[in-house]
Amino acid sequence: MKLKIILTIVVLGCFYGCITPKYTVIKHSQIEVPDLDNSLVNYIPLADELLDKSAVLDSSYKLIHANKFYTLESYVYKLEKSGANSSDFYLAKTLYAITQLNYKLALQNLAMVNDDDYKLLKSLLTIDLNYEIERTDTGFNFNTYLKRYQNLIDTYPDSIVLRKIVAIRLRYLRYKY
Amino acid sequence: MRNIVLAILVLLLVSCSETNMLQSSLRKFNSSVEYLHDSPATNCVRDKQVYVNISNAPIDSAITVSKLKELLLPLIVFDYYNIEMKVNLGQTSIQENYNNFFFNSIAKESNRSGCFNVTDEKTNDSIYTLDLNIDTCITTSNYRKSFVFMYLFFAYSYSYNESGSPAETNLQVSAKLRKGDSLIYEKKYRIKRTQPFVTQPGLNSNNLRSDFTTNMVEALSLSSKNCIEQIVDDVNSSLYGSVLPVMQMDETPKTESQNQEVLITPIEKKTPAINNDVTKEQLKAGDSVMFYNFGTNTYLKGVVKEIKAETLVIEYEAFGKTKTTEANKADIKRL
Repeated sequence: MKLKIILTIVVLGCFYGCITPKYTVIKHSQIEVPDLDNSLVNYIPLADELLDKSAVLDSSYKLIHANKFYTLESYVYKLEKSGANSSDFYLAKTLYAITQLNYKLALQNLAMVNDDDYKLLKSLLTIDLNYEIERTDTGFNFNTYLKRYQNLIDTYPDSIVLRKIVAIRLRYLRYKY
Repeated sequence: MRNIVLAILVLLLVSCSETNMLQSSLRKFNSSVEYLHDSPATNCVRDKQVYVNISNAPIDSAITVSKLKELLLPLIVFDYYNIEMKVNLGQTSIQENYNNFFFNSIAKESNRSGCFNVTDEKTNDSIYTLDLNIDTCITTSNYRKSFVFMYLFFAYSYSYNESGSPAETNLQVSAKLRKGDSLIYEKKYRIKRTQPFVTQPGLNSNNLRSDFTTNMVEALSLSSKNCIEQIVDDVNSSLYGSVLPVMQMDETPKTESQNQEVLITPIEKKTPAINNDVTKEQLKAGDSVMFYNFGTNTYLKGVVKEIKAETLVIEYEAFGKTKTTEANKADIKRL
């Protein structure tokens, strides 16, 4: 009996470990970067205004935050069946795929996001997802990605949050995580 | 007796070779010293040319390892061995040539937060000369290896552990800015930085050593960044004082709201944001809305049936049945 319990805990632990998302989806208002040097957090920032505007995105965000990935899957599936094809729906699908570490699918869904409101987020995620795919498939060049992130923060020079997030992203790149 | 002496000799030989083994292992890894230029960009006229002359950085050619502390306890039922080594970063662990990197980074920074152009060749236009002498460029870290072996008759147990410490960089640069023969400013920059060694648990030796080398290069990279930003800032102040020559733009100036910190919302917006408070006040019975359902943690579509002071009565369909719920105005989104 004890052995069964231990085995169940080990199996569940492994399962949870396998699907623990690398990227943390977070609201702007909740972003706290206390110590850049000691942090290895990977934020996907969602603007509060966008969450207020989009019910689909807000729901997806809440489900991701509550670690209810199965509910999110069925939610996205229901939306898809009802014929949803808006940018926020595809962004929700992208976020879901990222939580499942399916970066290729995430990139395909991201390509369908065309709304200008998500322009910056799309640019950031495009670099991130390409990095994840290259890292596992062929290997990546740090300086290539450094240039891409540099271009991104130069395109949006006023975004302090973006600068912080990218600075932490580069730690992942340096250490090839 | 002869066997014991032999065993001690073997142990001593192994301990002597530890530093060499680690050194040759660490020399297999290298990392890029380039960094993200995130200083605020200035919009100024860059009409002054500065010739930058960097003397060779006193950096070792390759990573070196030396022994710091060593402890060996060869007991009958318990063996313990611990060695702590000091590691010095060398040029071969850095992907770029450090001198070239330093010059290129100054050039990039001068085009970003600086108000001058940088050149590595003295021309008639470059009346300013910036002499940079890298006096000290040392990055060190400690690496520890320990081994415990216990045995009693047929039972035995052992553990092996390797760990790295945060890298420390000591970078000292002397800068002299001249106009012709006259000295404009002279300063010594001393940057000391400890870079925390953030690593993932459960790494094998190779990955740990790769991360360890990267940590040292990262420490040097961020120290150089700090130093370069200070140099460019000081050259700006020396050339222009506190008022930088801002470029006159044909574009209309940015509005106050554009100058505020933009988070993730792009600068251009297709449609103005909906003022939820106004639209909610204008809601009437029969309007379609999205309301937040706490049971499913999602927004559902519904129709307003009745409007109360703080809440709305909403009718919606679920599982083929029509249901009614009361929702706070704050949890409503207009369709």
